[in-house]
Amino acid sequence: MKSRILILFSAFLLLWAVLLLRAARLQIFPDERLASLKRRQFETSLQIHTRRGAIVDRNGTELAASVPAYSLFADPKVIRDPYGLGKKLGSYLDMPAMNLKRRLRDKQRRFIWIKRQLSEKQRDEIKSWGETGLGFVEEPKRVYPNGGLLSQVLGFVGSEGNGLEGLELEYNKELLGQMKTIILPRDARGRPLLEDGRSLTEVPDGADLQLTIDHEVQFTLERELAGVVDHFQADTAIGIVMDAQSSEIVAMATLPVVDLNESHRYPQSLRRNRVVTDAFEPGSTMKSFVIAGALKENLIKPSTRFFCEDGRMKVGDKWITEADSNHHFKTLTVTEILAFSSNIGAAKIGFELGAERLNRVMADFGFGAKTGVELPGEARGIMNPLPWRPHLLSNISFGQGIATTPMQMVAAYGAIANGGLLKRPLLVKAVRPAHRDEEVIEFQAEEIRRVLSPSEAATMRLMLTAATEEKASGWNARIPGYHVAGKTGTAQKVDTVKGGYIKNAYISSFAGFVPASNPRYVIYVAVDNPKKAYYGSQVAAPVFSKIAQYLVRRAGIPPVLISERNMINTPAGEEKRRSALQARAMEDLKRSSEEDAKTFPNLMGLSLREALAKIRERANHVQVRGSGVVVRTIPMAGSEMSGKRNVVLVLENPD
Amino acid sequence: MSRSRLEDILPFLSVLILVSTLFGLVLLKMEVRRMGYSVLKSSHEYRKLQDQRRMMSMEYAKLTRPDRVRKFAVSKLKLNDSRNGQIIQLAGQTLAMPQ
Repeated sequence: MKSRILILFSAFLLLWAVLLLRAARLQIFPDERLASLKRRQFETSLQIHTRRGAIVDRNGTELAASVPAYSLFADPKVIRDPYGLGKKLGSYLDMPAMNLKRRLRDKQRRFIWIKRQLSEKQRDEIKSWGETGLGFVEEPKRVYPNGGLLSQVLGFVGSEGNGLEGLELEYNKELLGQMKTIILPRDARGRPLLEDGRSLTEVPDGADLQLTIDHEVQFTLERELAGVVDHFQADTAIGIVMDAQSSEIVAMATLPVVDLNESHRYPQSLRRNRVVTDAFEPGSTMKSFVIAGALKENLIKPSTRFFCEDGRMKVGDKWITEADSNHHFKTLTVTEILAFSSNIGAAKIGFELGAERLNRVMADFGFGAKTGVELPGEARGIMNPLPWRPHLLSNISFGQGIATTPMQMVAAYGAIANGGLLKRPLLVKAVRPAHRDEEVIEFQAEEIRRVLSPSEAATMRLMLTAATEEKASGWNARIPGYHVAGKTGTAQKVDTVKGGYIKNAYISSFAGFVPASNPRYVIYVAVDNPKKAYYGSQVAAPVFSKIAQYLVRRAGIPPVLISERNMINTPAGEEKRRSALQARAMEDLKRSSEEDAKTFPNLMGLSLREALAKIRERANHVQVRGSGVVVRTIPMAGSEMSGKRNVVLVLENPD
Repeated sequence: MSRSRLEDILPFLSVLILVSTLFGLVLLKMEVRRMGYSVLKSSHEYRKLQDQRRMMSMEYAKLTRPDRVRKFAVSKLKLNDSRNGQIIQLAGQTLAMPQ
């Protein structure tokens, strides 16, 4: 009996041992087939659509954002009445019913798209019909609430949600959210069992992009440019507004604009951001930099006189003339050369500089190199390599034989406006991650190099102010109540196919800043191929004036000029009175710069040689400490100077 | 309570504690499951509200777009662009000047 029990016990023990070993094998040793079976039975995957980041202006107004949309699909095999459903869908979605009926009758197919990116309202309405065989997939949709505003700068996204042009392309990586898939255990009814609720709420959405653009200024710029295109029957127009001190781009436009919600309907040529992609001959706006270069090299002063050859000068075997054939200038000061835009005067200053120095001046101001603004497809412009023949040298001096982009031009005028520092224009202010615990990346304009000393820049500002006075070429750019500084440009259009210039085709431009004494905004306007008139003074300068007028009022900058236009109950047309008042205001401006001469100058950032040149006539004894650039002075910049005194310069290496 | 009586009920107490612990564990597991469903529902609600907020901010941006505001001001309110002489610039206490 006992032995039978023992045998039975041993048999059970063996059986259990086998079972345990089997269980241990299943649990301990990996088996892909069993693992997949387990996953199928006990796990479910959830797909969470992440959002592409928004693009907002400097005040947080949305310029581009992604909203949920619903794409409708059908399974023809389970649709009971394809004829009736096709008719109903066709009528509701405004689609050809015949085509829908034919596709819904195709029982061989289990999946067909009916329509992509429907609204929530449309989805709810279709769901309420209770039709079998219809379903929705949630897909994000990119919306541009302002339609065409800032269109070429923003760019657009493709159907797969990737940026294709503009900022959408340049910042695609930052903007793009990622599709998040979570694997979760599920219950008997297939519902996910959550271990950690944050896995559903902490979604890797794309970061938001905050621009330096002000959408109201942008609107005004586009409206004024549209007006000039319409009035002069021009092909296109380009405009930029930049903060003179911070180099932040406040507005940037290429006309005509493109409705970004329908971007695929426009040709590629219209979607191009010509502000950075197109380089063209700048014309007389270039003269400012030739003069600035000669001023920097101590070759000229504003009062230096040049004989302008009665409007015609032979260079090599070719003749150069003034832009306006009625101009026969004799002797002009440098200020007048700029004000009356004399080609011959500018060419003579160019000859004073020589090819190598002029080439260096142009490179210093950033021509021939990308500005580094955060936009794709930026052009470098065209600068002919040295050596330059005399004729090319003279042409470059008045803005021919060289091609620049509007962005380069704004950056270079910005350097004159801000006191001599060339900076990288800034378009993106910050990248803001979707989650608060992640760090916000903020950007600031980088200083590229000092191109003029503060006093040389101040002299240039005065000369450019004179270029908008009465009888000067920029007279139409003036604003009642304010000093304006700037330069007109009229350039013949280059024939890129046949070479040479296109007959009767011009690019009219104006570049300048406002207010002239303490610049707040740098503005550039270019109008391509205007038909009714073509001089920059007639076409671009009035647009500059309108935009500048809007900007100074919006910024609350008080007027400094009192003219009859500023006064109530003053009879209009008092030409004499107005001239006297304006002359007095110019005197005030000049006096203020003379007062600067009675104070110790700002030498920060200058080399020892530049600093010594500045204080040569004001210093008794100069003590130099260290090497590199000036970082501190005794006395401090702005201190009153009565006669000569001892000066200490502290220098440090910039890095 | 005498020591012998305590020793008599100790096995029952042990079983009771064991069973209560097991029940407690099951209840805790069920509570975790219940809260998991609640979190799932709330997270769906959260996403829906986020989407709604986005839709509404888009709608607001569309309604306040500058060209629409301008069109409204010109056609409905009969306003025009300001001209020289219509704006009075206020800058501190000393200057008040129409432009």
